Amino acid sequence: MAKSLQCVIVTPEKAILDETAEMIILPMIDGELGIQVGRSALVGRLGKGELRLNQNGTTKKLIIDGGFAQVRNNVVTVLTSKVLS
Amino acid sequence: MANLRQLVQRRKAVRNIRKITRTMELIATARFKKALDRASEAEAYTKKIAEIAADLTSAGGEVSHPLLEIRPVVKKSLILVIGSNRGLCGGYNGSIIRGAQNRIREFKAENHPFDLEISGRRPMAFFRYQGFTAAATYTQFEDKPAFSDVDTIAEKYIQMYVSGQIDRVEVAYMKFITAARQTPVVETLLPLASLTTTKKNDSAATKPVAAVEYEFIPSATEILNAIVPVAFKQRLFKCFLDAAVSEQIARRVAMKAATENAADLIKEISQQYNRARQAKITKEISELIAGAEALK
Repeated sequence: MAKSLQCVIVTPEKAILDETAEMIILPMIDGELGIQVGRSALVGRLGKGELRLNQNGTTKKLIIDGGFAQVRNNVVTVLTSKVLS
Repeated sequence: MANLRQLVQRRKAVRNIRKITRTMELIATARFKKALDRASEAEAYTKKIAEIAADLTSAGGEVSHPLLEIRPVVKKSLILVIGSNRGLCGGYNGSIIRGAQNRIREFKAENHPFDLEISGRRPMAFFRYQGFTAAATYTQFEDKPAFSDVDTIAEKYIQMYVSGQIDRVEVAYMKFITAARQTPVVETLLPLASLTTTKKNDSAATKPVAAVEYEFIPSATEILNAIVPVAFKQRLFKCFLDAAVSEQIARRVAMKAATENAADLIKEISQQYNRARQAKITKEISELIAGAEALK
């Protein structure tokens, strides 16, 4: 079973998204960062920008307004105050 | 005769009121469930923030954020009272106001200057009557407080706190403990006592999983400092969410009591009505018989 990456996006109001993807591109404070399966644990600060989810050849785009990201055990958790899709 | 009609009318009126209170009870129940769902969804965010903060501190991040500093001399405080816009919710507003007023009395006894901010029309009316002038009032918070609204208020407090206009922020609201228990509290939000928004034993529970070696972008310290205002905003948001949930519970309980009371009243009036009707019939019959007797 090929492992996939799980992406969870939460805002203070509710959980926006909980999906799997092959690659997640996060807008970090100092530039974009791509995350694939098997990424080592990471905690980072996000800047304003576009978050991209690559799923089976399609790309899902979300605009996020800063926040934090945590990567652990192939789970990417994004904490942000606002999401525009 | 007049008495009979009066009773019928009263019974009709009480029935109508019961219908209304019953509907209000159902609406409050539905809103309470929604509000509770929102509060539990927000819980996920709070938990994550606390977890990351715990991870960062265990990784040796140093925090020196002005929001965390405890100032030796508190020159001015700000107290925010969160009540409801609408009434008919039993002792909800009353108990919050009582809590807030105790605090205000303490301030006055110490000659301590303070700013009063109020959310909700009910406490606004009360404090206006008491002769207090509120520095700011908010009425936009109903049963679904929006984070963006809370965000602007939190931003203002942070700015006021950092610039030294205020040295303490307190919030008086109804804390939601369980569906059957809410207590009015006055909580100090600024300075932030700790980053972990949940209780001590909760943060201890997240510790074992935190044994992972993290990579930090840009650095643990920097992320920690960025997380401080976010944690404060979340705390304030949680106050509003708790208040919304508690308000709906209070309204449901009050309306349930009103409905039950109306049912009792209807029963009582029906009894009176039947008795009066029976008395009237008896009187009429005896009059008839008396009349027939007289004709003999």
